[in-house]
Parts: sequence; structure tokens; C-alpha cells
Amino acid sequence: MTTTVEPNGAHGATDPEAPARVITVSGLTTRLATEQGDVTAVEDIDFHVDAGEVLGIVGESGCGKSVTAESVMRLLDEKTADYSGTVEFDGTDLLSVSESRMRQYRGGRISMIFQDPMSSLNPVFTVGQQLIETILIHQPMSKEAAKQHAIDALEQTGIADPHARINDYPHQLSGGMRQRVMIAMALICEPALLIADEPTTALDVTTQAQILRLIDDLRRAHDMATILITHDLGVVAEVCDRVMVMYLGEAVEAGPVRDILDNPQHPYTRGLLASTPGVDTDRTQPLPTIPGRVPTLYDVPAGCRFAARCPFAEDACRENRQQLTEIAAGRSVRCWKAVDGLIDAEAGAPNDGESAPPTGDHRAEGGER
Amino acid sequence: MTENAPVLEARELTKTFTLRNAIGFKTSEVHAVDGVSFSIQPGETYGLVGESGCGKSTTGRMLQALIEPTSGDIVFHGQPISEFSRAEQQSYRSKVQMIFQDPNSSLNPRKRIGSILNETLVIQGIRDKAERRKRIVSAIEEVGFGEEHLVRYPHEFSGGQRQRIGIARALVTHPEVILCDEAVSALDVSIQAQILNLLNRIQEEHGLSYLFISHDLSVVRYVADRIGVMCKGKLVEEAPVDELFAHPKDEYTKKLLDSIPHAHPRAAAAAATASGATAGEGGTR
Repeated sequence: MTTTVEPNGAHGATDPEAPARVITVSGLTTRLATEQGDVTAVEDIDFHVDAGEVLGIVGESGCGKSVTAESVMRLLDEKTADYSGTVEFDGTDLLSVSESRMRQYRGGRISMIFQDPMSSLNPVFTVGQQLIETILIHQPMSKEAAKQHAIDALEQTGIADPHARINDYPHQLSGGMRQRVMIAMALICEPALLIADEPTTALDVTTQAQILRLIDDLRRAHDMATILITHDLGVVAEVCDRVMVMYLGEAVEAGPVRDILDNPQHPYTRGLLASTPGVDTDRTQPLPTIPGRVPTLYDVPAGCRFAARCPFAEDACRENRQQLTEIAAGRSVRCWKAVDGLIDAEAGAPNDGESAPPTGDHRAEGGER
Repeated sequence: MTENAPVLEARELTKTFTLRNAIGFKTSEVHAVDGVSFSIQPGETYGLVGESGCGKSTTGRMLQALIEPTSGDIVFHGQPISEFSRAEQQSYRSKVQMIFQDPNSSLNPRKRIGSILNETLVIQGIRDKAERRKRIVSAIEEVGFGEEHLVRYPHEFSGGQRQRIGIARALVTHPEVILCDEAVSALDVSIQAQILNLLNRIQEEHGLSYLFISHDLSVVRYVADRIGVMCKGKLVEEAPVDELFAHPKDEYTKKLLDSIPHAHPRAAAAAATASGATAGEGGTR
């Protein structure tokens, strides 16, 4: 997919055969000081994103997917957050540059879209004023030129009549329109990396489909690297090239999106996929569920973090911390049983979700107590 | 009551909200719900889907008698609720219960679970203390908790657990119909599956009817028997689930179905072949 980048794209310098690496995150660990004590919100995260590629980060609430994004952008309050590891972007380690330097990256070379477009836009300024401010911070130009630039950006995101909309306040726009404005603002300085944190969660399905298509079109047009954070596996399937599944602050599985969805290896990924109702789910059977619930970060289990909820767990799992292990090129999983192929053997054919639910549904209910 | 008579019916329900300016003059009218009719059979789950602002929640609130319709009737066991006496109205409220979207804001944080459930029964006029106790214990056990949980406060529970308590609260009055307004939308997938299974089990055991209001078509497909699709205040299509997914008739329904992102590879392939006529954009990658 990444090789289909048009050679005459905006940043045509890249060789389409070998897309440029935009960001490399290694060993990223973020500790947060909270009133109840210190927690490690994300631990030892490794990933990279190439130009024109979309990496999906999925997981349920509290898994650390947003903290990962905020750490890359260094958005957490540094009085309470402590980062370690490296975030290499443009040959620089973002975690070690000064705050003022970091501010030049944010909204310029790296930008971010948030879930709730209403609270991310300033209600007392017009859309145009906010867009122009963003442009002028990063690119010195006349106000007139910036205004034209803002209108073009709005037009590019599919907003009808951008000349009129630019004078509107955020409350005058619909949810989908506001998200388009956020995208226009994020893309206005042609970032090399876009981080989208649940960009469509607050939107209706038809609007979601439009926004996802828009993000997809724009990353192709600009050869932009994208990190898409979501809890929705359907969204991942639609737009991502590769995906990283997170659970309780750790990456549990990573690889090409089709591989992961067609042939999930980690018991958590299997459970997540099986418990998502799809259009071919058997309605006469109870949904397979993941028993229990996610432990809090204050009592992270010593061994495998998923062991307590895992139908395949043994004593060895509960005692030993699991390592993220490569099982094929670009494909890794944090589960020794999956690495040894034992999960497939116990669960039956991996792709046959209906006849062999990967999680025991007899334990479906009441497990949360 | 005859066999197969609907439990609850909406007949030409209409709700118009009047917008007023700051000094109280009428500026315009919004037709939130416009002539919506459907019926729910005993033991059936009726799914009501549509996008935000289509009027599905307003319809739910009218059925719950939280707001009055501008015109049209809500008919419970063949009798319009507008003709109910005060006592009948109260009994209607206990027979038609509601589960809300946000389990965090729908439970009073300063009350213990037992007291929250008890309050519901006191309001319903059940004077016998032992009877209240019996119902509360049986409801809390039904959703997978024990008596010991009754003395706890809502903050001691997780989101999914609180939603179970919301279900227990709906069950204490021994309802016939439960209106679930986006009841699982705020939950994570693995927890959502637990709650959906619980709702299905309770329905089987008690022969309850559900009105399941949701924007999530995959979830509605899993729980509902029939689906009504709302768009801009009107019911644009109604069909049994399989029929609706296989042969959607209305253009808006087709658009809605095409927009569902598919996580499951086989589903994506099936959707791509099924909607072959509508220029395959998503799904194919």
C-alpha cells in the first residue's frame, strides 16, 4: 500500500520503493505521578511509521494508547510526567529537545486531531482566526496570504463555501464540519506526521466514513505518516496499514492490519475481535466475551498482564513477564504460548471464530465481579 | 389482551419543539419526531437506529412518558396512555423502564446501591418493606452481584458494573418493556459484549420486550428482531433484521449500512460483494 504513493506527490523526494521513515519510537516509557502514587502509564513501546503509512493503535480505555500519543507530542504536564526512551523524528530525539523547540514541532511538522472537536476549538474566535493563527505561528506570511491559505485548506477538507464558513464560530458548525475544520487546522502546515486520537468516535457512522476517507485521501496526497488511535477495530480495518494492539500500558501484538485481523495471535486480540459484533455474528449464540476487567495501573500483575482474564493462561504465564517477540517479518506478539503455536492448537483454527470462540463464553457473565 | 397483541405501540407520534428567542418570542419550530408509528410485541426486541438528531431519543423519552407528544398516541396493551388515570400512569412507569447511556451520571453518587434500588420501589408505591427487600436482592443477583454489593456506593464499581446496576434498577419494578437508550455505547467492546449477553439472558428468562435505541448498527443487528430506521424525525424503513441487512430498500438505510466499518475480514468481503452496486469505496482495502 505504501508503495503506491504517487512519485509526483508534494514531497516527491522520497523513493516510492523505500518510503522514508518519519518517526521511530523506541523503549518509550511514561511514568505519571498521581495522588495515589506513581504509575507507569505506558511501558517500553516501540514502533515506527513511514511516509504515507497509517499505523493504528488500538485498545480499550486505560490501555495507554492516548498517553502514547501525548508522549510523542510531549503534551503531558512535565511536572508530573516522566518520559524515557527515544522518539526520533527528523533525526532529533523529541524527548530531549527544549520545550520551546518542541513548540515549533507541534502543529507544524507534527500535528494532532482530538476526539472532541467542540472542546478543541476555541468558541470565542472564528474558524478563520484560529486557522490563520496556526499558519502565522509556523510560516511567516501576510495576513491576506494566510487567509487565502486557510480558505484553501477548508476547501481541501470538503467544506462547502469556505469563503463564508471562515467567518463562522465553531458553534455554528455541525460535528462533522468541526472535525473537518480540526483536520484543516492540523494539515495546514503540511505536517510530516499526523496523530489522530479517536478522530471519529464522536461522529455518526456516515460522517465517520466521510472523515476516514478524507484522512486517507489527504495522507496519500501529502505522503503523510499517520498514527490513528482508536478503540474501533472496524476503523482500523478500513484505514490502517499496520496496527499495534495495546493492553494495560503495553503493546501485546503488532503487525500488518490484515494479518492481525485475519489471524490474531495474542489471546487479548482474539477476544477483542470475537466480542465485537459484526454483520456475520451468529445472533442465536451469546457473544464471546473477555471475562473480568482490566486491572488498574496501580496493581499491575507481575507476570503476563492479561493472564487473569486469559482462557489459555497457565502458572508460567502468571509468574513470568512476557516479552514482545517477533514471529514473522514485522509481526510480533507478547505471549509465549502464541509464539510456540500453542494457542492455535488449543483454540482450533484461528480464522474460525464462530465454531471455536477464543474465549470461554460459559464464563461470559459475572466474571467482572 | 389477545395473543400477539403488541405490548407497546407508537401511533403517529409527533413532537414539535418551539424555539424562542431571548425575550420569549417564538422564532421557529423543530419537528423532532414526525408521525412515527411502530409496535413492540411481547418478548421482542425492536431496534431503533439513526444518526444524532434523527429523533430516536425523543421517541424513547415520549414512550417513557418523560415528555408529552405534540400529537399521536402511545398505546400500552391496547389503551392509549393519555387516557390513563394517575394510578394507571404510575403503574405504566413501573411496567416500562429505562436504561440510560451513561452509567456514571445515572446513579446518584451519594447513595448506596441498595438505597438507589429501594428509592425506585418506594416511588412506585410498594409499601411492604419485606417485599421491597426481596425484589432488590433478586434484581441484584440477576445482574451477577450479591447482597453484599448493596451497601456499596456507585464509585466503587467500574463502568460495566454500573451499567449492570442500571439494569437491576430497571428490573426491580418487574417491567414488561425496557427502553435501552444507547445502553452499551459508552462501554468498551469486551464489557459491551458482557452487557449484551446479560440483556439477552434476562429477556429470555422474563419474556421482556426491549426498545433498543442505538446508533451502532452492528450492535442493533445482534440484539434486535426488527429494526426501524429513523432519519430527520421520520421512520424511513422498518423490517426484520435479516431482511433489512440483506435487502435495504430506503436510500438512507443503504447509505447507513455502507458506512459500517467492518473489522471481521469475512464480513468485509461479504459487504463488498453485497453492496457491489454502490461503487465500492471502503471495505475493499
